[in-house]
Amino acid sequence: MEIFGVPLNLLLSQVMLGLINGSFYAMLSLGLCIIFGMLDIVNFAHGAMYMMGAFFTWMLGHYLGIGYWPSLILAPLLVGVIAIVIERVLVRHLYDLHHIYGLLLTFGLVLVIVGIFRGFYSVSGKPYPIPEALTGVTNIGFMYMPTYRLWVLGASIVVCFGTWLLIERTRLGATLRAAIERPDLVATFGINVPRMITLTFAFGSALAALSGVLAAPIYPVNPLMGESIIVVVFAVVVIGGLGSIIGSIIGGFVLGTLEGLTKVYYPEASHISIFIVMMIVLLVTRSGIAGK
Amino acid sequence: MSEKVIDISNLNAFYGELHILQNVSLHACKGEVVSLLGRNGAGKTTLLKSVFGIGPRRKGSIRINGTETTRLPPHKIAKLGLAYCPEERGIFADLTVAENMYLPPALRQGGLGPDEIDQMFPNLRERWKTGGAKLSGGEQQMLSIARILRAGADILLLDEPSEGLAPAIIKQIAQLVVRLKARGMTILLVEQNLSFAKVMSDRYYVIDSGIIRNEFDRAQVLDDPGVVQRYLSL
Ligand SMILES: Nc1ncnc2c1ncn2[C@@H]1O[C@H](COP(=O)(O)OP(=O)(O)O)[C@@H](O)[C@H]1O
Ligand SMILES: [Mg+2]
Repeated sequence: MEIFGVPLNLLLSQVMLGLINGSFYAMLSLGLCIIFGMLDIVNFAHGAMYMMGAFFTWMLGHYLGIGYWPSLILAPLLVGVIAIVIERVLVRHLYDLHHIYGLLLTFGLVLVIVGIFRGFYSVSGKPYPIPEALTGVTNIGFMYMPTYRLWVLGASIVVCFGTWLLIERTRLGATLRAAIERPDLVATFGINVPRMITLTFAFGSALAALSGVLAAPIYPVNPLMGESIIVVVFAVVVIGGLGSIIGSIIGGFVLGTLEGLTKVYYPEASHISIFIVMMIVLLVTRSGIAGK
Repeated sequence: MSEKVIDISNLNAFYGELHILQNVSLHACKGEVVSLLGRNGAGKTTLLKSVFGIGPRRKGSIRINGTETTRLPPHKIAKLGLAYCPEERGIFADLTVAENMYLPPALRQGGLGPDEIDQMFPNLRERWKTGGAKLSGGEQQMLSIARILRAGADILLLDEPSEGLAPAIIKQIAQLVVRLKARGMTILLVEQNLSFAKVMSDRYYVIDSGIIRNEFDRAQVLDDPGVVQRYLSL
């Protein structure tokens, strides 16, 4: 069977591959969106957090012999701690200023962080092995799928859905949403709002780092890896509707898939397909699909 | 004289370069209901926000049960038993009644239990799963008070609780405040509605253009409401 002259099998496998990219888009745009919601800051350094997640995974293995599974926890924790320091020392002072300052600061942070890693490791990609348990391929009916990529897809869905539940369905999430709306009032309830902001920044950054760990075995680990993906992620966040949790999750998966499909029908356009969608969505809705 | 639970002296508050409150001094003793009356724009809300350290920049002294609070962050001030019901009620539209109710964490012993909440606020339980946006003004006001009582507050800053409500509802709110007073709570009530404030107030301050113009006790106002009313009507 063919669809527009493309065999169904090929189409489905591109959809699957697109969903893998989409897994990264979804997790990264989710973190970006949470940080934007709580801190009202467009965090340019988000890609650097992702890169550090992958790099720490590689470093933990290379220098300390610590494997993939512990790194899955350790790398996001390390990045979370770095994020706490960044928020407390730098970002905190910008909340009362115009957006542009946050943008400039985090952009500067990218240059510094990426510069440090480049200084030590240059830009060549570091290989990272797929963990033993996830090597090989799995038959998913219409194709053989690398097992590791299936794991990435599954892990991403669980993490995204879990985060959504946490924010939309728990008391902690209700407090967070209330603090976004009325930080002053929520503080009078005895809640330490500044600490909540710090932890939100750390959580969003740790999410990016977790994507970095997941990426380490399939994308080359190098200091520039965050910059290439973050531009796409910004587009996803804009399309999903700035600040919409569900918009950024679904947007990530859908746009990854769309990108995969473009590869089949018009490979030349695959890299710009998401930006074309962004322009159309912005022209039509002005605020993204799930935006207010 | 009994202990001063709220003790404000020489408070000055600023929004940017605007000097809003000028040398405000007032106090409320344990179990007292003290009303701060004044026209729109007089600085009443600014005063309540200043007490909690949210919004205006402040100079002067604010003591809560003897603790100087001008250098404390709001979440620490809350732990002294202070709570604030904002003029616009502060009910979160996206959260249900239950979620709004449990938003403030229980800070101290002695908060209202579920039974007491049900008994004092009979309507809220029926609306438990309703979104905050669907509540009437009166229900919002009730919820705004209920949630801080649940958390254990016993020093209440109420910003125009009667504003925009129908007379029957205002009566209910008045009865509620009377009951809170009977429980020994200390209440700083901001109002423009004298007939509401008269029901439960022990003392009155009148504020105008950020300056305390006068002070009356309960008997003076009951005797001749005109002494206060002339500050309120235009
Ligand atoms: N956020 C703000 N920035 C600047 N000025 C303000 C702000 N809030 C209130 N004001 C000014 O402070 C004065 C007192 O306001 P407010 O305390 O709200 O009065 P009231 O509650 O008595 O009606 C008014 O002149 C008002 O315009
Ligand atoms: Mg006011």
